[in-house]
Amino acid sequence: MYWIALKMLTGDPSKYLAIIFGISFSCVLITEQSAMFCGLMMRTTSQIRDVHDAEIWVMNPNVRYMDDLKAIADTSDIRVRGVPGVAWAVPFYKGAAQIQLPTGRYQGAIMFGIDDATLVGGPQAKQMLLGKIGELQLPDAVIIDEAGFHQLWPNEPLKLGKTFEMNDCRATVVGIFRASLTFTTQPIIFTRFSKARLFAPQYRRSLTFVLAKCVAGESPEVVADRIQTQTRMKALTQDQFSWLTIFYYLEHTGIPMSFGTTVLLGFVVGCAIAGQTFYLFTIENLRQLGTLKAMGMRDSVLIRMVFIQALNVGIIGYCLGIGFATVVGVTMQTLRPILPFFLPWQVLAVTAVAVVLMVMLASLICIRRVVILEPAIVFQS
Amino acid sequence: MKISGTIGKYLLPALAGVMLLLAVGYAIRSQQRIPLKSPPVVPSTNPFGDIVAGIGFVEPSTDASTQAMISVGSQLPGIAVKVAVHVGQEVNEGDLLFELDKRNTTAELVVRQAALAASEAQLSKLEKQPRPEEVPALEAQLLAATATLETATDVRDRDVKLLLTKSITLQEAFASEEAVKNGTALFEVSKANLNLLKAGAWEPDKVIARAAVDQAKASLEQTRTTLALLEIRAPVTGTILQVNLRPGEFVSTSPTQSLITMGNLKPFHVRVSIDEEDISRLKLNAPAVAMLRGDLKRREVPMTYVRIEPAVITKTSLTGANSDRVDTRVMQVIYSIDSETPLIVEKKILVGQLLDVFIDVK
Repeated sequence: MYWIALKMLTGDPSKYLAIIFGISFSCVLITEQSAMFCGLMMRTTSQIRDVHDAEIWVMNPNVRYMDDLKAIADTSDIRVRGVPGVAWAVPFYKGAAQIQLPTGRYQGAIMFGIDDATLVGGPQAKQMLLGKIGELQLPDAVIIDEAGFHQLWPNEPLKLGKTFEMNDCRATVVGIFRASLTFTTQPIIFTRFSKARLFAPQYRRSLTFVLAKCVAGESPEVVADRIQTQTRMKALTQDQFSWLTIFYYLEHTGIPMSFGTTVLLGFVVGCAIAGQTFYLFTIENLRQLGTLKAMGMRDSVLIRMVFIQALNVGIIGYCLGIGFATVVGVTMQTLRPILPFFLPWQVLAVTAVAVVLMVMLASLICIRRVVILEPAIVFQS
Repeated sequence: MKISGTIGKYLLPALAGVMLLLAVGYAIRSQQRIPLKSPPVVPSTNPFGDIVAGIGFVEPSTDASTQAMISVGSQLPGIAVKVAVHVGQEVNEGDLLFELDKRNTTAELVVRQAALAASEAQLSKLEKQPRPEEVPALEAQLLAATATLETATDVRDRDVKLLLTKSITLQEAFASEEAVKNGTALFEVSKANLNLLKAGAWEPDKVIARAAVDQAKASLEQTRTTLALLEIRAPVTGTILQVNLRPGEFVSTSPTQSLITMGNLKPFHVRVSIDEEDISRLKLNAPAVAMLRGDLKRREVPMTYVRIEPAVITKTSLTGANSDRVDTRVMQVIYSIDSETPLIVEKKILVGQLLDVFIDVK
């Protein structure tokens, strides 16, 4: 009997495809926008996630997100080292720097100062496009990100040995790396901690973060709590710090609102197209359904038939939609890396829920018509 | 109709399946967690468990607060003519470090020596008086005066008798009487002269002369001291760390000039700065180790507790130069590292170096 339902559905390919297109379109909109939203949010934490060798971040208790820089006492790293469960702790500077190019042009940048002896928190070897991380030990050495290099020297091929000035100190590019894109898109500069203090304008305190790793067998969350208790500084794992930053942006910017509106719009459009087409399809098939009812088929079977039809278009539309969204997203990002696109499974789940709601709504209207249908209608006209 | 049926039945579900796999696959891949990497150089790790960590500043074991390196200065200005030590040399207390130009002072020494000789000669002359050759002359004079007096006395005695017999005039008698008086006076003069000569130099004159000798000696000694001050010698036994002086350079007496820095490196001392908030957890006399920064082998250097600095100070040595931007206060604990420790023998630990220090507080 359900085979007839599917036959009815695919019997008219143009209508069938129209319904599926409606649902797919809505899925693409919802998935695409949600993934872009997630991508944008991930960008706010890219500098946290780019640190691959430490798991705990220690900072001023008043820090609200990654770019909210409040310095801590210069002895903080040795205090963190004294906390049980901490394998090591090193200073990590983050601050704003003002680059002055030989042409006289100025450009703001994000500067990181990594521990002189160990280079903890620096770019990974696989991120390096030119040069080596170890060359930071050279005098005046800095490593700059690829996008930043193009911002500073547009239309020039990547090249080492370029120099510029920061705070009247000479800096030489000894390496170029590919950084995860940031929210503010400023050039990212890595240098040694001691050099960073010279490159940055003078402040009384200059230590912004302490990076720590816990000993094997200890959970980072527990050790972070212990650091917080013993030193009264804020200590967060990489994930906790990322979420803190994301929640700050969610709360303090209009980004979730604008993306949410588009997602809602996608949902409404999807509902409208899918619902309307599906409804029209049901109306057109009322004669067949009436015939079946006249043949003595019970309402429950008819309702199930409608559901089967809805489920069929829902699943196929959903699969096509998310697939197409992925293809579009990946293509866009490959062509223009500046576009954010991050697709976690949660987005797929949210889209699935939306599709289920959509087809439920559409089928419910149709079911009402089927239930109140008089079998006699078949013999009218 | 046939084709569209195929699309509906097989192609569309198949395409949908592929798309689903694509999307889910991408989602799973993009969410994969990047495993933690180890940094280029693993930082010094805590060897004890429950610890207080600090930053250690390597210095000589000379007993001092804040800075145990001795900056040897000069008390006198001048041109350096000789630098007797080289960097890294071990010297004993009193060994010559460098020498300033002495020519002027050496010349002055000769003058002073001559002055002393002169004053000593003067004194010796006074002390040797009377001159023996002068005595016989005066004695002869005395004898002559005695003879004259005796002669005059004889004449007068005879004249007294002759006057009674009126053989001579009264005038003549008076004359002989006068001659006796004259002779007596001459005799007294000769005797007094002889006595004066025999008495030698007057005592106050000798005292003056002796004082002059002492003065000359003192000023000679003063010049000798100046000469000694031109040779700058090691104040303690130790190792020469820096030589900021070459022969021919002018040495001033400015207190900021550190011509030669030195200190005792047997043993090394490590001045460990500990954040004031960790003082409550610190245990003195507990095992402590130091680690070199950036050491790939992560070797531990055992240290022995020496003392604490009683005064808590603002942090200065942790980062070297930037001491002006600091609000943290640190307690300083002094530890010593045995000079036979392999890392010291290998010259891996040097004065002024910063070490990561871990102190056990279990």
